[in-house]
Amino acid sequence: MHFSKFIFLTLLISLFSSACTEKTGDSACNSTFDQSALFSNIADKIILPGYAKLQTSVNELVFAQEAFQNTPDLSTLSNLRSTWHTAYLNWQDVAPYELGPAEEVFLRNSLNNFPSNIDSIEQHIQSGSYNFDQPDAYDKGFPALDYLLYGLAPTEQEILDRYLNPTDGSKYQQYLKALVLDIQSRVNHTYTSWQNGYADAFIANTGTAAGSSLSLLVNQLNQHYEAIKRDKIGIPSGVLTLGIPNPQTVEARFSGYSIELALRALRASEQLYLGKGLDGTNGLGFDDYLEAINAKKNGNSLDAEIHMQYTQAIATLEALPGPLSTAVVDNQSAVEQVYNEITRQLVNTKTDMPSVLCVSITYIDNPSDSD
Amino acid sequence: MLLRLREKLTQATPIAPLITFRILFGLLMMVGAIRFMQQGWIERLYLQPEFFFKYFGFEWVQPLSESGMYVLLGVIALSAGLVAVGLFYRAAILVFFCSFTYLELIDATNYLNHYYLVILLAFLLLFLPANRAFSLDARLGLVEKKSQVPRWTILILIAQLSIVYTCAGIAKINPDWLFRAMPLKVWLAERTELPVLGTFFKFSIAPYIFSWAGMLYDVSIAYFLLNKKTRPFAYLAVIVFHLTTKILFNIGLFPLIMITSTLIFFPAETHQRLLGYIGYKTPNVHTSWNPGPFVSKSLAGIFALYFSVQVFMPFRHYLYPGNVLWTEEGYRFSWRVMLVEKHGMCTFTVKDEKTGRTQEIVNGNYLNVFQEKQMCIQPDFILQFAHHVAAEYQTKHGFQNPEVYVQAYVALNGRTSQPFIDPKVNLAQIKDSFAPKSWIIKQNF
Repeated sequence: MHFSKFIFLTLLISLFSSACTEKTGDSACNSTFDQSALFSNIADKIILPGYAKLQTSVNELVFAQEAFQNTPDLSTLSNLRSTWHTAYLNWQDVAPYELGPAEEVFLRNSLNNFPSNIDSIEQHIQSGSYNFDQPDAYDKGFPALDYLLYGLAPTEQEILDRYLNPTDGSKYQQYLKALVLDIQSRVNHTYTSWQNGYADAFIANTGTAAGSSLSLLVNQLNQHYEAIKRDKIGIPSGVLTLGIPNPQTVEARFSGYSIELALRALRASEQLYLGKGLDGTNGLGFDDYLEAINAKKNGNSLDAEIHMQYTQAIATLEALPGPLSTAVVDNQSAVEQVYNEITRQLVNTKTDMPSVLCVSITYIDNPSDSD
Repeated sequence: MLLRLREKLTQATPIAPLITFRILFGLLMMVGAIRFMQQGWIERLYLQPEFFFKYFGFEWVQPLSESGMYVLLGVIALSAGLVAVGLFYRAAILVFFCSFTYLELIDATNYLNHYYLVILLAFLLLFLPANRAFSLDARLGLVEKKSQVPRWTILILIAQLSIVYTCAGIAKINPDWLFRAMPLKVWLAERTELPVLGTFFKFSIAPYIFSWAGMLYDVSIAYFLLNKKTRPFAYLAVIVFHLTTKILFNIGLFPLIMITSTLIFFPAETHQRLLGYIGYKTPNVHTSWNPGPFVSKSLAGIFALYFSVQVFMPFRHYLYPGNVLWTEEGYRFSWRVMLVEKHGMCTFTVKDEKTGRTQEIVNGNYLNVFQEKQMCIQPDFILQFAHHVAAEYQTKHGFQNPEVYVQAYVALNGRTSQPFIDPKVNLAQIKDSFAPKSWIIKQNF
């Protein structure tokens, strides 16, 4: 008797309470926003064309490397450099998507662990023995190529001479080849998997649970963004080392493309957020999701805040005179300003976005029980 | 009246409920310890991290070496097993209590209410004659066999469980839980792939029903379990409730602990019947276990103090300003179970007083991801970490009076984030204490 009353009361109060709260427009967690449409826009307009573009440019990089190995001269070297430059930039477009197939081959670490460990690279070259399957090693990918194509000697001619050196020039050629082939095989694996089923699975994986596409994307958006903040700007600027700048730690240290690459990375992050395709069309993105659930921060639109902060961060970085390795020494306060603008975004994307979208941000699974 | 109360408390009652409790508690704890080792949690929680968050006053508790940790867990499992079979019971439960408590004190990051409950139950078992029947101690003649115990030995366990449920229920009476269905709204939405239940979670009313039902269950279940007429239904509710939480959430053995512990509410006859299935024979001749007058008086004092503390702890947050869900002052040890979903972020800066140089700290250099996540939402952890950073920079980098500041933001229960800690306060100079933390920025929710 008591118990049935208790259940009845429970139901009654629940109905009453939810009826009341419905009016306040607290739509978090149960929005009718079409997640699949969001995922398919991101897959079809950003990720797939991004990998396609990266694959093409990596293939060209491999051709250019072959040409350089067959006919090492200033013209083939210059061509190799320019294909590398293009591929490196194209990589930045897809760097945020370290999930599924990319994660399987440690794409982010394998392609862009920097700064390179020069001693270790030289050792590998001389010994001819190396293993690129260690994600924590700093001896491969685009940064290692940066060293091999720009950092072996001060001038282009002297670099060419390094490869023409009769005693160990061929060893350098060998390592160069190994590097581009490793990049190629990892990119191929990732793109092929996306084409053969992963894209469909990704689009169908709706919901807010850990492991859902939403949770993966929010996690990756943040991890990628934090890497921009820490690795591309933070460490070189000296904010993490008592204000003492570390110019030798910039991305693309020898070629000097650091700012260009960082800009491309920031734009890639913004593209993901906006759902902006590689072709420039603006489709469904997180901005639309946040607007659909009417997310507010301190009374203002959260989307507007994030949008504005991307614009601000990109503008500040754009205005920075390069190369970054010089700027961190000569123009430290300007670099710090860039760092601060980039950092300001993080609270929006790392705490607000997952909170209002009701996704659990788990870089790894919780190690233990919860209660 | 006091005399009548005393009479009731000391009235002889069959020992059977205590026996069931001892056996099931011991078995569950043994399984729990073995599971802990198997899951690789020793490595992940105690061997890999370099820094551990401490409980106030227990800063001296340190993790052991790898073999040491395995020995510790082995001791926990073994002593729990001995408790279950009732061999060297007094020593075993004391060893279990100490080793389990030590394990939990190593890193406050891993605080869970049900571990705390285990510690409390083990503490109470220290005083109970749960080995006086159906135990190896009794069979081997190590203790004198008894068939009856004073009623208080059972009532204190009932009281403990009643406090847990009721306080957990009262904690749920807050606007977020009842009127925003938070954080259940977040968590249920994550489980829509579940068969049957999952379909139901897609309805926006589902988290409200679960929130209210959960609150009503917690505040009233002890009452309904105590009442003879409602007890069977109430126990059914216990089973349904905890199995549901088991299906929905990653809460390990907790549901089983509650389902087995609450059997203590049933009368002795039920236990005699249950134990009968595994060979327990209800004796015909009654012999009572009774502590001497001095021990009785001491025990009365101990339990009076113990239960005062138990009732005080869940409400001590009223001594602190602000919402306990936000400030977390008085949050632990008060049966606040699954009340918050928080996303935090905290960036520390250390400054050398002499040179004025500053540096941002990469939390990941000291903490694992789980520790960092827990730290950014709990002020006492933020303070401990700030002190650690200050000490590191003083000893390793030669800083003079390092100053440590933090930019911390927390998003609570589906809201956007708010600043959490006063960024202008030099945390290196703040001493931790039970006094209200004025450097927590208060928010109006």
